[in-house]
Amino acid sequence: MAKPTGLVIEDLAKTYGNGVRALDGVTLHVAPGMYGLLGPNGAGKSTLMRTLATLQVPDRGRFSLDGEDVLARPDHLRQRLGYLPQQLGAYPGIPARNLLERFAWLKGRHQRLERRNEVEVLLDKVNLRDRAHQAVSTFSGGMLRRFGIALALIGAPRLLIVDEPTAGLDPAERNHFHRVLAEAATNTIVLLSTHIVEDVENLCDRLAILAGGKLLVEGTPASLAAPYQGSIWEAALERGDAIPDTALRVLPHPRGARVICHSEQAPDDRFAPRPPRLEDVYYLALERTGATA
Amino acid sequence: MKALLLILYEAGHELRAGLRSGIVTLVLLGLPLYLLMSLTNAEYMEKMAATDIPRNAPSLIYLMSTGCMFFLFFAWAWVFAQALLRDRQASLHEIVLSAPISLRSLLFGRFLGAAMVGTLLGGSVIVGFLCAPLLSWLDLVPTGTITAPAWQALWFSWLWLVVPSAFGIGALYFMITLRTRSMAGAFGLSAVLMLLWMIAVVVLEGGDINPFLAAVLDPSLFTLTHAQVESWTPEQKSQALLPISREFLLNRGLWCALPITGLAWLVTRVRRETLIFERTERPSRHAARMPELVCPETHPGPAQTPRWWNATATETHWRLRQTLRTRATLIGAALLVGVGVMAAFVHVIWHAEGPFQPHPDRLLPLLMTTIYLVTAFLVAAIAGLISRQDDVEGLKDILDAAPAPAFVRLFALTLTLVLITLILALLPGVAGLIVTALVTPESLALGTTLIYQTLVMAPALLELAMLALLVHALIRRPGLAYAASMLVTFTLVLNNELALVHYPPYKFGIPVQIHFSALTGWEPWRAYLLAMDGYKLGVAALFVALAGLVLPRGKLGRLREVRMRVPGPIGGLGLIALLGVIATGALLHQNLVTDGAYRSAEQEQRDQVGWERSTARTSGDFTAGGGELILDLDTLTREVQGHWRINDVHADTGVLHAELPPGFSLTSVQVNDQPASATAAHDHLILPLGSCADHGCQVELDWTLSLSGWPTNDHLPVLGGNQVWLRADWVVPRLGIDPDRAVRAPAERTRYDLTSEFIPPSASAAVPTQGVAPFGQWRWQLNVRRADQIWSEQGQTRGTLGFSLFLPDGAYTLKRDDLNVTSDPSRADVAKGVADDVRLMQACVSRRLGTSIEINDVVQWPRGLGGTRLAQDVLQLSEAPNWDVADKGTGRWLRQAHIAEAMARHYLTSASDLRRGHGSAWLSWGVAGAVGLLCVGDENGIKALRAVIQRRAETATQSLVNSSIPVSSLENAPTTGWARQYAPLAALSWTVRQTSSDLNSLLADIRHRQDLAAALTARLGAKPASRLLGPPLSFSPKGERWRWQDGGWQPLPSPADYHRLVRREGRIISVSGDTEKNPGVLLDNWPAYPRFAQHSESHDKPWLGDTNVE
Repeated sequence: MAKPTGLVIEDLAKTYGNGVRALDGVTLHVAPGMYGLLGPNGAGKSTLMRTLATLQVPDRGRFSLDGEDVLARPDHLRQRLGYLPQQLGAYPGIPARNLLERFAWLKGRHQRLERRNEVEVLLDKVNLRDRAHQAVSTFSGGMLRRFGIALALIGAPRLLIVDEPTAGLDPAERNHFHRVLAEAATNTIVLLSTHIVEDVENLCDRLAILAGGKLLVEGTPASLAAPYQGSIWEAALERGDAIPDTALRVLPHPRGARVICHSEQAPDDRFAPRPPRLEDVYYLALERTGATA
Repeated sequence: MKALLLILYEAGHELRAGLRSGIVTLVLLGLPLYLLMSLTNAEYMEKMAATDIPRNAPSLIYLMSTGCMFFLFFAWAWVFAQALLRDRQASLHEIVLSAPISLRSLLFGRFLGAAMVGTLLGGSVIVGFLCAPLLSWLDLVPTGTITAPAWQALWFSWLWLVVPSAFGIGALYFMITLRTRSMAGAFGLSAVLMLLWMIAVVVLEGGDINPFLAAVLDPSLFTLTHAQVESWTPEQKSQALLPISREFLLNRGLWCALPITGLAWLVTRVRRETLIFERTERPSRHAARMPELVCPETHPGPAQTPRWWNATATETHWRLRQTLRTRATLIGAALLVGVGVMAAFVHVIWHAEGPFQPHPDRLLPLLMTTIYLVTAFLVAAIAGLISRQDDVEGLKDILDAAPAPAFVRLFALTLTLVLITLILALLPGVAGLIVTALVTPESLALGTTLIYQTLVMAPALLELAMLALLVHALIRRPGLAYAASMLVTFTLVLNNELALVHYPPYKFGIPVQIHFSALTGWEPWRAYLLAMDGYKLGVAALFVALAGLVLPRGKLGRLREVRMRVPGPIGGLGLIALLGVIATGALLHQNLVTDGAYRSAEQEQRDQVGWERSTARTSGDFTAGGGELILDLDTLTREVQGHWRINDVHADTGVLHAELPPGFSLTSVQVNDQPASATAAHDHLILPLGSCADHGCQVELDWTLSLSGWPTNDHLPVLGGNQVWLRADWVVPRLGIDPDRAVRAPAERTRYDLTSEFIPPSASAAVPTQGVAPFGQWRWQLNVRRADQIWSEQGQTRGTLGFSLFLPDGAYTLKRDDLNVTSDPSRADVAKGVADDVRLMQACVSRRLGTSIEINDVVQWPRGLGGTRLAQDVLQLSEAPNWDVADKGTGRWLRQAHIAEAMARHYLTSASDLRRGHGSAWLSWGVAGAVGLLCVGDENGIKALRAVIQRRAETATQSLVNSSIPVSSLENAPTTGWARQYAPLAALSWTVRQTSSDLNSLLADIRHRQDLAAALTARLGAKPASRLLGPPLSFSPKGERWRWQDGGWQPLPSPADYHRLVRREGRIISVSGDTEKNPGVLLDNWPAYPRFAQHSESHDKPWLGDTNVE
């Protein structure tokens, strides 16, 4: 029987010592390509990421990469893993190229020439070759994130886990970062955890929304939005205007608020239909569970 | 008001943060518990010269309060740096610094809070002393050894020693962190403080260069405290407060007032933006030089078949480069070498008892000892820094998620630490080589240096490094881990300093104690050293394996990780290490305990008690007419077989006593050709003689003695391969009872229900002062099997039985005027000087004693084999320091005094048939030592006499105030303690006025009476005799006279009655008269020695006179 490809997560559960249930029976199948993981703070995204990165073990459940049971053989995954955590610090005084090389041998790249070639390719890819001699601790936030993705890409990983990679980046850096990720996703399973819905919408083939440690919905952005076609309404309301009970989101507006509602009918004449977007799906999913974004 | 509130709020916040860090709890529990444990140990009290003072006496409070500063320097570094770095680590610094609050108040508040935490840490020793009465209450110490808390001393320590240091040194840490905004700055400063302490103690104080400057410069104040306490009498140690002297105030000013002022100045000038921004780093020069690499077009793809051992090597190289490439490393190494060079010059070349020649066997142990403490702390700190290097947010997770198995980073870290530790261990050797190359290039011994540093020093440092690694693996919180590793290092080093641990394998982190000698080479030590090194490396590897098992990876459960790692290389290492430790531990136990003479301090004391109880019942006078001794020594089986026929043995109590050497096993005993039963217990033989004891018995003893055990108490083994060094008393029972074996400390005697004071046996019941049997007609034969040949020697004497055997390999022999001088080849030049000194002193001693001292051979007696002795016509001249002194200077005069003393002792004890009874120390050490001093004056003039008396007087003062046994009278003193230093000076005044016929008449009288006190009384009268044999006396040039009583110097009403020593016609004589006309060496007519203040300059010593009159 052929082994299933991609990342298969089955009934993953994790409860911390303080009683917080961070994961509660999460089941997913992630095929190669970009996969988005959305959820509010405390949804369990980072726990899932750390678990998948073999940095902690679940209380229940299992997961496999290309058919190999990771809990039984964590090293199989580690040899195919690229991981970029949410926060990334730097050693004082150590140049970027030097640090990348170190991570290369720790990822099993034992041939010096190969190692150097890989480092140069990655530095080029993240546009840091001309800064590679500088200490990483002197990098700006955007450079540091780019350096981080270069670190994660060492060893041509099969699974790339990136946790909130674009937080705090300016639009140009963010755009550049997206391009690198998209390029990597041609042969790789890229698991992108974020709460910037737009990033997932633009980049990911599929996504899952997590809240309270549970998987709420899973699918392509289009398939998740399709059921809400014709039931999303939008209006710009003046300051002091009453906001309907069916309001899904209330966004600030220079003269008042922009209100988005979910209902079969327009709440009143001021509302016009609008095509459902992933962001609406996200809020609707959270609303169903009582969670807030 | 608002500013004050902010200061108080921040201080409170900082205090709570410090308390939560766990460091305060750790230190407040750890240090007091350790102190209490130390206070229960009698040997610790001996080591601290505190046997006759309470165990919680003020002197100990001062010493411990300042002594623990070495540890506190590192703990404080963390506490004060965290006050500034905590916000940054939590990425809150920008929020805090942008708040509308006064930056000065914020910083002062933080400093105040950290200083409160610092004083809590510093006060842990005081807490320990406050808890000391618990030991009495729990019956863990002998009754009366712990008194009520010395409140004044405790308050004094708190106010003058702890608080100023915490605030002052803390201000320095605060300032350096403000400047560097990193922990490295604070830790670097702690290393500098340690270095300053070392320069103060080792160079300025140790070398007697400038004790004042040493006291001021030492940030811990330990130098001043130690010097002060060392000069105190037990009475002062029990009561006194440290005097607030000029240097004391200057020290506090330099290390408290000045830093706080500096901090106040800096805080008013520091700006928010300088605290927010990172320090800009200069681009790496190495990187700047790198050629532009051509970017390959394609990515090499996934890594295939990783080679993790290859990765380990690369990682090791990377880590090593990261550590060694920094300027701080190079500067630190250069400083350590610099201090080593200074220490070598001070303690060898410029030594007050020198100058010495920097022979490797003298220099290397000295440099290791002086630099070891600093190196040990450095190793522990570096181990912490390196093992925490990957604790960078995010990067640690990436590393943990990397496929490299746990052993890759662990082994790389370990190998890096091993290499850095080796480098640190080699630095004292480098310093030694530099000094040798500068002073005596012909003595350069690169191989010896390398072996010594690698096999003696490095394994102990590796134990400490790997223990620190384990502590950091066990404790996730870095601050707590740093404090814990430093505390562990401190206690391990202190364990040795305070003699809390005796069994060599249990001395973790302490270098193997050996006495290397160029004469003996490594051969005698090889097996022991390799076994100890194997054991230490096994322990270090075990620590590494344990660290590897518990090293956290992400948030994975430790137990699960342990289970997963046990089957891998880490578990393999652990298993090998464990087997290694067990194997070498068993080997050491076999050779030290089973075959060797090792006993714990407790066991040793019990043996002493058992010995006293068993000998007290049947001790009595005995004599022996002579006899014949045959010894067969096999160097292959390392066994001695002895047969001793002793004729005409008389014993008052019908029992013959003998002290037995270690490893002795009695195989048969006969009395008048009949088998007899003897008891051999507590290294003592008791042989009931039966009815023949009155009219003379013939006793025959047969025994075997194993020499296969390894040395204890760093005593050189008797056999080294084919080499043999032997003294009769090491392999033959000593007839009689040795009062030096008695337990003397009153508290210990009470503990074992012994009489409050030891009552020595009569002189006629005691062992001879030299040799193994008292006066008689003795013959002996030695047969030694060496490799394939048998070497034999015979001898006979009419006197005390004593002989020695010396069969070295590859020794150099100088023949000079019928004198054979045997030494190691590197000391060929020294041998000439030794030959000259021996002939010079031989003539002088013969003249002064009215006899002819016969010496045909002089041998270099290796380090660790005991002192100088003249046995038959062979002078065994101890290697240290006699074979190291240069041709000119005080050292040469001291060597001459030493040689003359050994000759005089041999004659005086033989001619009087002296035994270790009442007052024997006065004759064997006092008069002999005085003759030695006088001969130096006779041959070299009054200047030389002054110099040697000055050195001896300083040593005598130290030995009296720091005596490990209570100082009573010279008559009852054991010959191993303070009497050795005091007696020659006290006997000088009397000896100089004796003619040789006076002396010989006294010797004959002593031999006849077998009662030295009675002989003296008969000749001098009761009062002068009791002064000669009484408690120590001293005098000052101002006419004051003191007697040692109740643990201190008590003034006497009668003023000193002076006479002077001058040199006339090549002989030192005593004259009375005016100071100006006859300046020489001023002495009291009483047997008092000239005492003077520790640090006074020579012009403050008018008793020495100021002109060189001969």
